[in-house]
Amino acid sequence: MIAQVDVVHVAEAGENRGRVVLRLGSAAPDRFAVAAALVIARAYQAELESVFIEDQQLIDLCSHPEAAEISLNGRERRRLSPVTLMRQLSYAARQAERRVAEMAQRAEITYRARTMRDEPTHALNRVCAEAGPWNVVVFGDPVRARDRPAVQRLLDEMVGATGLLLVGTAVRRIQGPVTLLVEDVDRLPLMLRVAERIALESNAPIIAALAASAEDLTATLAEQVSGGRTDIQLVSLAKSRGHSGALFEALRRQRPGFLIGQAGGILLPADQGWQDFARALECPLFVIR
Amino acid sequence: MFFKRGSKTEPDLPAQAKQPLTSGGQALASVTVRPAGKADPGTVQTESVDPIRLPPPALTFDELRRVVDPATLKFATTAELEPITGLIGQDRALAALEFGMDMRAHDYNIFVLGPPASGKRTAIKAQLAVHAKTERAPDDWVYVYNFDEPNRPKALRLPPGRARPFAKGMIAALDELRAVVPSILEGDDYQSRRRAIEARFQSGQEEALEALDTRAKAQGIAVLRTPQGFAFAPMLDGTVIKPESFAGLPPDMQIEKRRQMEALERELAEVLSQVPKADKVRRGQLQALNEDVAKRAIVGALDDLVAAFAGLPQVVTYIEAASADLVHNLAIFTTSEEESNAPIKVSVETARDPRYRRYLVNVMVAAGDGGTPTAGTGAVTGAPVVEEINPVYANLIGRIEHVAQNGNLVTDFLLMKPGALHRANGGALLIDARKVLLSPYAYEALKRALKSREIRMEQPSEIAGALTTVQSLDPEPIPLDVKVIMIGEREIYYTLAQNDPDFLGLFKVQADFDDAIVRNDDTDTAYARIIASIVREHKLKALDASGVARVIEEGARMADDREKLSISIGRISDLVREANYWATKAKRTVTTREDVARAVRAEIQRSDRMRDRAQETIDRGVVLVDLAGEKVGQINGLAVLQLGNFSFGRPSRITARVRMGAGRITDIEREAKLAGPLHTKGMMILWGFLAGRYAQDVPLALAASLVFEQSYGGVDGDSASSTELYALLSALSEVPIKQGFAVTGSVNQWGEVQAIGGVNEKIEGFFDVCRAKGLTGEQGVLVPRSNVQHLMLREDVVDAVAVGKFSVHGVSSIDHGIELLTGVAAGARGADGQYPTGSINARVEARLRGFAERARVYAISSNAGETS
Repeated sequence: MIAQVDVVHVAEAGENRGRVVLRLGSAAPDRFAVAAALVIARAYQAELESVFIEDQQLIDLCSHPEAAEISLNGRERRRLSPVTLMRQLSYAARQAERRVAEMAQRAEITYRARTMRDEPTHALNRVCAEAGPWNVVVFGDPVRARDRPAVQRLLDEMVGATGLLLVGTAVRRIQGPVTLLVEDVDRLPLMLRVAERIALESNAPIIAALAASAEDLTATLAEQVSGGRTDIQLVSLAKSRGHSGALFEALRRQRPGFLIGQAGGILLPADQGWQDFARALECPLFVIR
Repeated sequence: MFFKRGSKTEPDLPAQAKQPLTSGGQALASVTVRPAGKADPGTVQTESVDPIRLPPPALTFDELRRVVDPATLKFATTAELEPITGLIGQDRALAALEFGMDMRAHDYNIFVLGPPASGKRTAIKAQLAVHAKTERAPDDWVYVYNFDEPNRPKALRLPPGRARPFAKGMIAALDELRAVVPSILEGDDYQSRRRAIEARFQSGQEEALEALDTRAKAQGIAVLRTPQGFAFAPMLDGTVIKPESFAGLPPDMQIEKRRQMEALERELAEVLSQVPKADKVRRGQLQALNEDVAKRAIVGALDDLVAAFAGLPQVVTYIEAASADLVHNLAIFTTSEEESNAPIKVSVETARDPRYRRYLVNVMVAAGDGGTPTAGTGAVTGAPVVEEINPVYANLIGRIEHVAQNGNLVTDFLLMKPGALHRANGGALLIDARKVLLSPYAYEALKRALKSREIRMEQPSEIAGALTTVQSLDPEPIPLDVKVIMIGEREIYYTLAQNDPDFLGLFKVQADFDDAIVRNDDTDTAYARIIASIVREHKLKALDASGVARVIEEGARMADDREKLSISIGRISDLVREANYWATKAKRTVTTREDVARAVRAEIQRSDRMRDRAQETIDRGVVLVDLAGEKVGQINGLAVLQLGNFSFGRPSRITARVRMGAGRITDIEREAKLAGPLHTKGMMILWGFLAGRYAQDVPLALAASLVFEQSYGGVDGDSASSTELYALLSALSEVPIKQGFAVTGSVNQWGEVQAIGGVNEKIEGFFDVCRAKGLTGEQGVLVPRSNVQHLMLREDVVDAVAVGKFSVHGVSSIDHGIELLTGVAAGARGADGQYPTGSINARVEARLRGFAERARVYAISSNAGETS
């Protein structure tokens, strides 16, 4: 659980010592996910390190004599041998790394690539532990509703990472206001500092979307957020709270370039499906742990 | 060494050659024959050889150079003269030019023949410009993208001056769409409709996969993503079972798991196979949405353009096609990936943004390009006159450029660049024939364009039929209506006429410019105005009348003809500019005769190193040339050496030896393969003369050898044939030739001396040699009488002649020449058919008859010896 993990934020700890870890898997990386990772890296003057994970379960699967693969277009069923799989994984890794390297070069970000064979969550934990605790983990491919258990597990168990950056299948921009979804005051300072960093890098305004659990808390949140500042636009989403579809539509109307939310909050509820997030969110989501 | 032969070869016998027995108007009965004004050498015969003809007297100094009297020019300096911009004395060529320009037919192109640097190009351009003003301005042409056949760009014709507004209009429309379309696409209406479509697609697929995933997990089976698909694996406690563990399961369970996985695989295959179909539907729906939302904006942006070009159906059709294509490509108006990720956001100009290239307009030719005159009001008038100074293929026909992209060379219709034919279309194109012919593919491409009456842009590699992997285009051809004016030397014209069957069919008009114009008071004045033009053009000092007179004289020298003036404007311009230099050096305010003369001398001095070396070899006795005394069978011939622009004359000793023989002259040059065909021809003519004159009734039992002494290079031309004949006659007659003379001239079978080229250089060359050794007054040159009109000798030669230190003789026949050279009468056959006793001809005939008789005796004795 979140409370059990010792989390120290990049924003708190020196700020220039962080690292962005890009998780690459079998599917090709999404360009918005990589671009978002680069924005975070530039914002924190951090390095980008990709980890291509050769899923141990896939390796185990190939050991079965009957192991087979259904092609992406569903038209072909082929035998999946360990040799075939290793060749495919190697090729996929090189291709993904080349693509990330090109984008990193254009963004003038130091980039390193590595490949690990492990169970995905365990592999990320190992990577983050090596240079933690100021890592930001970015999922290289869009998250779907069915990925909820894996992402949730990562959020719960991951050590040495301060946040998780996700994109959904509807992602289409990283340019636009940096929008904070503020639910309580506990992590507000951290989220604000992250938002300021990204906004500075993106040359974008900051919008604080207030979604207090109770109507009377909204004014308090507003006061906490602005603190006399005029550069943060306040928007109330209190009415949308509890209605996932309405919440994401309200957020979409803000046309955010980045959305910053808290783990375990209303954006990625631990006890509900993530269909709305996956299908409706048009920008990356930075989940602060 | 070679002998240069002039082109004027017609016999031009002077009148006195046909009049017997006159010398200075006094009839003579006999005999002591010597050149007028010369001392008796003491070796001539004094027998009565009545009647004979006397050789003509030496030429007077005023026959050697036609001098212009500055007073006749009637101006003080060229500043008073109105410059001439056109050509003088070229009426025939200019009339041909006018005819060619007026003939509208495509095959009446013009070939301008004439010497280089004669100013004809400038004059032609001026004349064409005047003609072009009366013609209508040609249409504009543009290339646009062909939406049906992308590799075949469309050519559109527009009225003059409309191409650039059309191109700008398309850019303006695109600019408008760049502003409008993104806002439409970001609008709530569009976004909600788009999301609904996406959601329908995604939800269908996702839900099916979600359901499959849930069902698989319920059955203890994991769905795993592989790089190229999906795979199912049996699970135990949430992780994939290893093979050895799976083998440990009860067989029934293993079979059941396999069955379940097979069923799931089939189900997954079915779900995935629906994706492309669903995606196609999605794309179709998105396209329909785009059309619905953006069509109005696109049509609106292009409306003004359609209205502006409503009268041009081709243009309107293109705009409509572009409009339809834009509707299908709305994505180009959204932010590109590169723009999204660029550290610094820069808005790229529409004309430079690769996303909009296919909607841009490539203006190939528009009014105002290519020399089309545009009036001050902006109205377009007149036809273009284009001169292409580098007529290589690409510059004539146009070129399709390529750019490197990911290691490949790619192109599109915007990389098509117009050639001179595009720019001159509807007008005239001036090109240099030599340059066209030297440029690969250019001449053939030009002819192809003229014949087909269209400009078809192809890459040279395609023309050559070479296999190429470079991407190329096949643009629509543009109709061609152009008058090509090709400028070249006569040799090129005649070579093409003889060897290229297409040439005369396409270039039906020849405008033949003379090298020189006839010299008279009018042309002298016109020449002075040309000099004034040069002075004005180059901002030089004015020339006074004496300076102009000297330039005119040099013009006659350049023409190699005292009765003509060279129109080599380039050379005259050089001379005037160099004279200006010397005038400046001398701190004069005007350029005078002295400055012009110095410029001439300096120009020669800069070029005459080889002449000096040749002179030196003679001075030091390395090359043997006798300049005094008399010798049998030896004579001084004259050669002209041409080195670049500079030519000079040089004497060369020619010797002849004779003996009884089988009737053969051994031309040692020919035997040594040093003689050219013209020289060989001269030798044969010489043989014909001997046989015809002296051996009518006896065999020509002569063996003679002739040689150019100390000649180690090739010899050609027949200008030494008379000289060789004199040497032969001397050898046969055993009468010595005066070595103070040098001779030039060709001869025909009748013994008439014919004109040659380079007469001035030859005389001057011999004069220089004589002067170096010391002028004796006995030295001179025999030249063909018909060359006298070409004499424009250097002033120092003329001066020497004027004081009797040197002489030049115009000779019309071999008889005249031999008399001058030997001082012995040549002799004419009398009523008895015999030559006067003691005459050269009598001696030669007697010698040849002697050879014949001895040959006959020899033949008899030989035969007798053989039979005994």
